[in-house]
Amino acid sequence: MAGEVKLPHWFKEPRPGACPISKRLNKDGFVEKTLKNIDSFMKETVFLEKGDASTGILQSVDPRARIAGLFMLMASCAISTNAAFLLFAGLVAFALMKLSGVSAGELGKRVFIPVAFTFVLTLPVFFSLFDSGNEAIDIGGGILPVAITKEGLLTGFVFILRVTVMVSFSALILVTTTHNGLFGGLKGLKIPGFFITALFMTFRYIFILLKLLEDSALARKSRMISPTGFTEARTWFASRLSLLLARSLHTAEAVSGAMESRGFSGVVRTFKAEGLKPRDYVFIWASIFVFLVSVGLGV
Amino acid sequence: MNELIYRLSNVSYSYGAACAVEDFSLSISGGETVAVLGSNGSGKTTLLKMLNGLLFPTDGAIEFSGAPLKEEALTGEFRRCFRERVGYVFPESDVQLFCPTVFDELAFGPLQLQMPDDEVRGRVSSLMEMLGIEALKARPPYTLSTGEKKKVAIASVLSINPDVLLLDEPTDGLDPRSQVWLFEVLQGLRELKKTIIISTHDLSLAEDLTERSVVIDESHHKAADGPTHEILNNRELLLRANMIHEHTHRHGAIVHSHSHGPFSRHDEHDFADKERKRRGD
Repeated sequence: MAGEVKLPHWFKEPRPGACPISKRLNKDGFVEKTLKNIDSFMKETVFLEKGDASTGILQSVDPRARIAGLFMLMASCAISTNAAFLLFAGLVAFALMKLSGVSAGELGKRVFIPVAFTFVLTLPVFFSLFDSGNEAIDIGGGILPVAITKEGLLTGFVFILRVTVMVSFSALILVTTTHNGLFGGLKGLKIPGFFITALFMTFRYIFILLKLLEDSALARKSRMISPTGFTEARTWFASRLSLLLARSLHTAEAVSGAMESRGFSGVVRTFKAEGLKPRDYVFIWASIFVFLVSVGLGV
Repeated sequence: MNELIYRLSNVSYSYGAACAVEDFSLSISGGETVAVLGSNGSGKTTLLKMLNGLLFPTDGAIEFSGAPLKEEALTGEFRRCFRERVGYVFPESDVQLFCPTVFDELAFGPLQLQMPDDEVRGRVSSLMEMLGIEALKARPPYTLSTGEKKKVAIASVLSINPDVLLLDEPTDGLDPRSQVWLFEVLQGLRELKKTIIISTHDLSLAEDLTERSVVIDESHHKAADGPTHEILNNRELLLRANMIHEHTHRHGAIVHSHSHGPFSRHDEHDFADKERKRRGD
């Protein structure tokens, strides 16, 4: 008979009875955990779509003015070594957060990781072991010559404070601006179209490639009968990364063809931006004023 | 007689040592609706990419409206005119949808062709209304379903108002309602005398929509070129090109074989129909 497939005898036998119930709870391996964490981090921090939907002071400002103003505030923190000014900037960030209807938790989860990382990097500065200075707290107990120095405390505090405030301002851009607004705003600030397109494409296709990796992990899980060792998981992860690389190269080539097909010739053309409103100028000028104060304090 | 849009003379294309299209000659006139039929890997996509000036023959020549379609010629005014007149819907919608929102996606092509902003806005809005996708306007394309992505991908090409529409496997992944939507859209475009070239292995789409079919066999050669109804009635040709297959199934106690596609009618089905009629069901 045409097309008939001969099945081996063992293939036809259904297994009798129900499956035994395991007493041990199933737990994700490190690969699944890592992927889930990357995925949720990307979705929560980068791919925010609700930004402009909520009303608040920052949302009422044009994305171009919002981005320019917050960048200006970040720049003022970057050049300042004055703890009082940084505390003031921190209060500004807090006020903007409140007035924009952003919850402390929403901002905190974006700020926490960079600040924690900065704290770890800054840690040696506190100790006399790495940088000499006037003793503030003796932690050597009189046996070891180790102490936390006054200079170290001040330097570390100013550095961590600066990072916290700057990250807060950048996080405020992310949580109050939609994807579209963000890229439109960058475009309006005359950032070269090529960089914006490259940035947008990166965000756009990270999502697709993450989905591919997530599906690969699910496919592996669906075929796993018993837990495999660390070595197997590592080998699998490496093989998926190579697949991802091949896939991203293929995608890049196909996207380039799709753009070319629709008339792209190396320069991204977009709608001409509309003019800014008075409130946008107020926000930008206020930010410039804060920046000038920071410069003045530094002189 | 309509204007000759494409003339392919002994065109071949290879990806390194792997041949994708071999010694292919073809002419397509304006207003024609042509199905390019072939099994997976037969070279349909490569052929469409060559027709869209994304790939160029390793051998042979392609002419578009009498002008040579070559890599070095696709520049300046000719390039602009060609991109304005020929639109290509990719098989994977994800690679085609790269803008922040659906609205931006539809505006991308007209903006690249330097149309005035107001005209682009008007064109995009009316197109969204025509295709019934206004609700998707502000959505980022990656949040859409497969069917919605396909609709937006088609709309993003239609916004250029191309004279020639190249569709690569347009029904792949579409649910029945979306397939009907696509069919109606293409039917409308056909009535506007657009040239439509569809690469597919969906024989029902070819049967319903096209008057001419070109078959590529598994050796990447042109196996046939003629009226769709004749091609779809050529059982031996379709079997050879792997467009239909022999299939075994069961009707009660009867187990029998027949081929899929336009030859799916057979004695047992006819017998069952007659039996039903006789019983008055």
